[in-house]
Amino acid sequence: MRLLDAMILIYFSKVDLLEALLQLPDLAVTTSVRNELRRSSPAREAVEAAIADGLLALCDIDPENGTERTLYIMYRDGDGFDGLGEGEATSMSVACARGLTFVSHDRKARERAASGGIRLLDWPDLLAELNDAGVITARQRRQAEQAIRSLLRE
Amino acid sequence: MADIRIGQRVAEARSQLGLTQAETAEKLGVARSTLAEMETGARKITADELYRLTEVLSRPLQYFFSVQEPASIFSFRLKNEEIGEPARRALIGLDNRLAELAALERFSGIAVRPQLKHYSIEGWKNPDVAGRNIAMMERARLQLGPSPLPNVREVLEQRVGLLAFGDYVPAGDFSGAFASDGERSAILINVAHIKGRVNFTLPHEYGHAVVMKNGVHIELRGYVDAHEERFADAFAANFLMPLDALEDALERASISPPEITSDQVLFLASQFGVSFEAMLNRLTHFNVIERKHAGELKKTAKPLARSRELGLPDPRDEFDSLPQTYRRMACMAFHKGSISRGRLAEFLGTDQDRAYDTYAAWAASVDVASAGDKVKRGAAA
Repeated sequence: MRLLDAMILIYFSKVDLLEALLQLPDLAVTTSVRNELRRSSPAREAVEAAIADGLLALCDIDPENGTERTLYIMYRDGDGFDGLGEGEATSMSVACARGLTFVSHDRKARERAASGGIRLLDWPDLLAELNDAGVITARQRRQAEQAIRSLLRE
Repeated sequence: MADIRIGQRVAEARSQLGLTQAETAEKLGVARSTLAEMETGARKITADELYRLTEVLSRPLQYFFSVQEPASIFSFRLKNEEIGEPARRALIGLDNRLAELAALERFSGIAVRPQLKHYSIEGWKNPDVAGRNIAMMERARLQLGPSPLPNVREVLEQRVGLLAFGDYVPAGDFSGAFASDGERSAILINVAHIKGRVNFTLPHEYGHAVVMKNGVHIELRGYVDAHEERFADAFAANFLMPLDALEDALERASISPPEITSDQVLFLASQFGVSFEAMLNRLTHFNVIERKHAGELKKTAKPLARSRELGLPDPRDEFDSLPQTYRRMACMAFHKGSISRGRLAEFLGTDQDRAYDTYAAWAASVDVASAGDKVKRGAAA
């Protein structure tokens, strides 16, 4: 299972590849990420439809699981640590506790995830996977890479 | 058996918000007995229920997960017969803001500690006199001189280090609050009111701040100590519109009372950043105009429409829900690499793209190397 951060979905939506992305298997978001997208994002409707259709799973912290709760507090506000957004912190807590993959482009979140031994992917990995699966062409992949980099101001 | 701690947090949050088990259960869509079991730990709470509880109880996820007792300014229950639910939620929001401020201090390396001087009003028989004298002492302490203070929020933020947050509480008696947890203090303003009124509420709350120490003061008609309210009103009026400043303004504008016109009152109100009514009351208080004439002006004037015609600032201008210092601290925390873009967006109450734009504009406008010192100085000079 791959837990997607909100910005991944937003940028795929901005380059019109969200529908394509949602064809990949084993994709999930936490309710915090879903809520972030619901508030204001071009991906909102597509994400809600994908959840309703079972293309995107909801995968949340188990409130009764002490490890997941502790990880969340640590990622969010832990003393001596950096502060992550709620979506990032919930995704990483679940990914860390259950051995899942976290998909994010945020530098800070990725640093924390890497140091915590969490399996990581970024948007170029997903574009490559889409290309490998024949969902998009190599040309589409290059165009999307360029477009996302431009959106990210990199 | 479920983890009892989350249940306890649910019970605490519910109690602080002043909701009964039955009311909370109804909002949550479960039976009262189910909620009672959740609170005692007899029943597990699902993730879906917990997310709904964050909304129903106006508390963030970490409030329920925190190992330590969450810090709260509310050691008491907000009684629903005295304060409406929207106002109670706004007060809980202020509590959450103080917790966020504590986190932001850690991430940005900038501590905001209001430089409050405390006065006692116990010895004063007349609260109006106490309000006037203490306001004068505060103006002198803050070296404000005799000038009007059209942006009193900035004055409190820059010179006292007292931050004011805004929240929208629809029609009702709630106008604001002051809260202090012993280290951090903040004012909450109901932004549903027009700016002139908001500008009066700010020093009014500041008046409460200088005579109380820790705790919460809630500004609500019918929920007040009459002596302290009269003090805070007099404090606010004299802090915003001291007699010498008013006399200067009248002289500069060549206004000769008692033939003052409603346009002139509007002009003065705009200069002092108060409402037409507040200025009229002040001028009447100082006998600059007669009560009868003031009554006529009040009846005939159309302050909002006329302000627009005269090109004066619109008194309904929005009050930014976040203080500038708080925004700068969030930008600094992001700049230092202490928070992710997602967390920056949460602090700024917007989406990640807009949050980054705010950060970029801030970074372009300041010498980032010395910005931390500037924020520090600005917050508690």
